[in-house]
Amino acid sequence: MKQGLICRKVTFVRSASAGSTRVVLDNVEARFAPASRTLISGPTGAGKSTLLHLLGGLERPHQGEIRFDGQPISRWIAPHRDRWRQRIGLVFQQLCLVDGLSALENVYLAALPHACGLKHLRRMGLAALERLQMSPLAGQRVEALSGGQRQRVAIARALVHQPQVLLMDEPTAFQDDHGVAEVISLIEAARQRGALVVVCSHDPRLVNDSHWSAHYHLQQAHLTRVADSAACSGIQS
Amino acid sequence: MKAAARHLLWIWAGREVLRRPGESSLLLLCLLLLTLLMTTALMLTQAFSETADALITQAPAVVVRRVTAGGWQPLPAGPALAAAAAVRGVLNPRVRIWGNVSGPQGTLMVVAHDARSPVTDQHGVALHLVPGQAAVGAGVSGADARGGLALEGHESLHLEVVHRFPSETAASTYDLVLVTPADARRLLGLPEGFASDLVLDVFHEPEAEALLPELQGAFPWPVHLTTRRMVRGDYRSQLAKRGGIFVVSGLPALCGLLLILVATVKAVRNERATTGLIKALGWTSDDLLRLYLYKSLLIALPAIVGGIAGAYLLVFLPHNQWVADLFFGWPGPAPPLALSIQGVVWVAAQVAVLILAPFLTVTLWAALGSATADPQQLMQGGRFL
Repeated sequence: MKQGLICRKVTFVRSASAGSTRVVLDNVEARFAPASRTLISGPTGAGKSTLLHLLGGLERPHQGEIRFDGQPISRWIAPHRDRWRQRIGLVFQQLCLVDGLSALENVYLAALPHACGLKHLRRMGLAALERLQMSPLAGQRVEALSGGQRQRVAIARALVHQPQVLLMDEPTAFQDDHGVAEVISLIEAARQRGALVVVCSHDPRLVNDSHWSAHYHLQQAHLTRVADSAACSGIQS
Repeated sequence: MKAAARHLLWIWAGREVLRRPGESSLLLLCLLLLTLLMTTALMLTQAFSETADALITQAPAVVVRRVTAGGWQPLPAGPALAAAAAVRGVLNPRVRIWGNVSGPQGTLMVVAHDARSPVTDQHGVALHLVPGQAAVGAGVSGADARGGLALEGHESLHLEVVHRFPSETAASTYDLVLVTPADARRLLGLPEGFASDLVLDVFHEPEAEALLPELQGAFPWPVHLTTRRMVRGDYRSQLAKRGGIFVVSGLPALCGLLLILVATVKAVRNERATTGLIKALGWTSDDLLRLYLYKSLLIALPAIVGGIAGAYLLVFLPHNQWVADLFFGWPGPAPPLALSIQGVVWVAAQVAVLILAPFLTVTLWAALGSATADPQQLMQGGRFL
């Protein structure tokens, strides 16, 4: 990874009721450097999740483009964007775990395209859950887990294949302070192995962390850079 | 997806099938029953056709029957043999004594045992019948406790059943009662020197058709000539009528198939949110299509194999009579039918076209809509199943 992710004049419009539309992102410009961790804060409904989904190739912007290492990923055809998503780890705000499957099987879902066999798959899954102290609950069905445990499974799923790009949407919403500290250390570990990490959150415990490489604030469809790493400390959303 | 990891998709597809055991079992059962119903009809038709073809091939090339305005009449054996032998190209002319009589539970075919071509049992031992004795086919029922069989024809006779042809014997022995020529004449009312019909062979089958005009004029009385080709045509037209019945009985099966297909499409569409999630997690459209294909095959293949195996047992299992009774109205055990490997392949191909192909096509068509959409579009408003 050389240049990281770049948003150029990204605009996204969502259909609202009765045929009207709402501009969710308006001319968004941002750069997410390799081996960095970036925080995007903003009020609820500001469009943070939409921005993450655009970065993750889950949908395309209506205007502008998103580039990764100089390649216009948002303009790629579907099969190429399929490949792009294999380089990403994504934590959804709603967690999006599959009921009826165990914690380990939910983690398998993301590891399967990367595994070389059943043993390898199992090893990858258990290692990811172990990092979140969730391996004792690996065989539990996810619907039987608490909110915090479910969120840890979702994070383990995003980390299982050691993605180049880690996109996390409110990853601490169900975590206590100890859990937040663990999530921050995982984010830092991912950054240190060279991953590009983008976290959307309005959790003060994350916002107050002083180790963000960059901090953006999203409000009324506009993304503004708040401060650089050193200045991030003490910023409240 | 790496080639080495492809087999994981099979495992995952199996896990997905087991995640909804009730739905999967029900779908498997529906497909199995559908296959069983359609394959039984197809296999029975094919087996009947092949068995009839085999019997006709072994039958004489031409059958000559004397006819009058009142129907068929016995023919004098000596003059008939002489007239047939005078026609160039006729081989091995011989007369037969046979006809239908009433048995305890329906009409039976009485055939006179010809000592020149002895009948053997399943061990190869020649049967020796004396007047008052009979050898009967598997479909002949109604013998009394002492092994006696009462027959009503021109005369009434009470015969002792000394041999019963096993059910594996050719279908031609199914309702046959083999008796001595003397008993046959008494039952059929044939005077000495007369026969039921005359049969002959030819060098090559096409010659039979060419000989017909000459044969027609060779006898001093009107005759009706039947060649193998004519018999084959009769069988086929009968089978075509049965085929019409199969179509009518197949309509509910087709409706059932349509219902299964509609339910399959709905099930795939209900999984859109999960499909979107899986795609968001790095699965490609190709992976998703494979997953749906493997899931379908894991359900459809056992169902179809089970259905075909069940149909085979229904059609060919000895002593199983209700299927033949249902489709052909045979009252007793079904006559043994034969089906060649080509026939089995033909039936399997028809089942594949009628059931497997529509099922897989509809599944993949429904899955294609999900697999090629953007993940977010699929996940929006969806519920994770």
